Amino acid sequence: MPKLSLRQQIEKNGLLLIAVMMVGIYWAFDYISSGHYLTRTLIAVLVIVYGFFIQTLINSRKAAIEETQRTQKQLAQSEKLAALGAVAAGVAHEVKNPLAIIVQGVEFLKTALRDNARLLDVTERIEKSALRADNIVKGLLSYSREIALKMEEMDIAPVIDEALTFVDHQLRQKRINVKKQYAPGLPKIIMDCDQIKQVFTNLFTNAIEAMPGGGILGIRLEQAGGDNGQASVKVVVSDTGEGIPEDRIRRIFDPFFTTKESERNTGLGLSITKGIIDKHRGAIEIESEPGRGTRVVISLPAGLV
Amino acid sequence: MDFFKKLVPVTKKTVLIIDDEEDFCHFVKLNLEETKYFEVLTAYNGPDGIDLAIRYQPDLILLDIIMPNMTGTEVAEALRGNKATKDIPIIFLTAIVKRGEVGSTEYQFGGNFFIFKPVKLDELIHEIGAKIR
Repeated sequence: MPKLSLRQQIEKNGLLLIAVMMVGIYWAFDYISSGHYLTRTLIAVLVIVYGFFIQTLINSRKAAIEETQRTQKQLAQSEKLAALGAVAAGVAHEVKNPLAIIVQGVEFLKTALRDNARLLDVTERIEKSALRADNIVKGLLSYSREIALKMEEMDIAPVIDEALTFVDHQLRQKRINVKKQYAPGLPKIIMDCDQIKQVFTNLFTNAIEAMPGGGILGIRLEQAGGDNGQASVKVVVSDTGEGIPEDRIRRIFDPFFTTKESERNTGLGLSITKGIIDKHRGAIEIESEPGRGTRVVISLPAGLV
Repeated sequence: MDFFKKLVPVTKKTVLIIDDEEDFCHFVKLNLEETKYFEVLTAYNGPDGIDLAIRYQPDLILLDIIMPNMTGTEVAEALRGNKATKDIPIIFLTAIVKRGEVGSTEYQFGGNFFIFKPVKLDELIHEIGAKIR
């Protein structure tokens, strides 16, 4: 714990010190004017206890405000990072199509102008610039999707809880209740915390969108045995939403498949989610029934993979 | 070589391009037909593309993936489900999927192939030449 400066110590224990000083001043004057020691002692104790409780209340309120500010800052940062992937895919699509048109148009001009060296040179420079722009867009896509894994051993429950805070506003807005069932004593997982957080943020967002009129978001954590006897942690994210028809479930992880109405939705969320789970040597399955909701079951191996 | 090309009549191959970007279809048609080896049909949406495919039985289909209303994968499924068009080779056009990601999706798209936009003409012709029936 960092050492507090004198000013910080006074701020932290200010009321208590004031109470002690008041008692001291009162005691000094009263001692001079009368001899009632018991009354004076009782009053002094009461004032000090009062000061102590008020100080504790103020300190804990201050700590709660700081925690909320810290969480909101993290939320804003993570939302930016999570949005970057979607923005990159959208930008790539919107920019690469005009670039494709430019390149094809230039190809035609090159053929038509092959006898004019000067104009041919101009068209080749245009083509080079268009392909350079394409490389820049490819770089943006790479940044948003192929971030190297930073693996560390940790409990999965706090990671899931943090992902929940990212969608807290939407949960409250749509009046969705969260039902958590976390088994005790779960083994730690070797994982990239940010990528796993992205996975659960995506799953929670899908569940929320499937329950426009409210419902229950269920999160269950339990230990399971793997195929080769290795322990694993099973996470079940369930919703009481619209459900997905069977013929669409088998395509649910296709990179461009989406059940969402917006034509701007590129349908990359679940394909990226599956990619992250695959990188962690885990498994993901979806069970759903129209009108009865959806269950997403993720299994992640514990310990070394 | 050009002399022999003049003597021997070239049997043009028919390519159908289904893409919601009209200008892209226009330039691909211009470029491929300029080679004198291809006849190019264009459709700007899935339903029109399926209709042309059934009617004209092209030798190859270039199919954009992300289109409004009916995606390329839905068009491909419809074509695979139709007796007249199920054996026509399809090359998907995509502006989003990167080269390294194709491996995991080829199986899901039934072994179909991808061309990544933007694409240079010689690469386009090479890919068409390799897949065309």
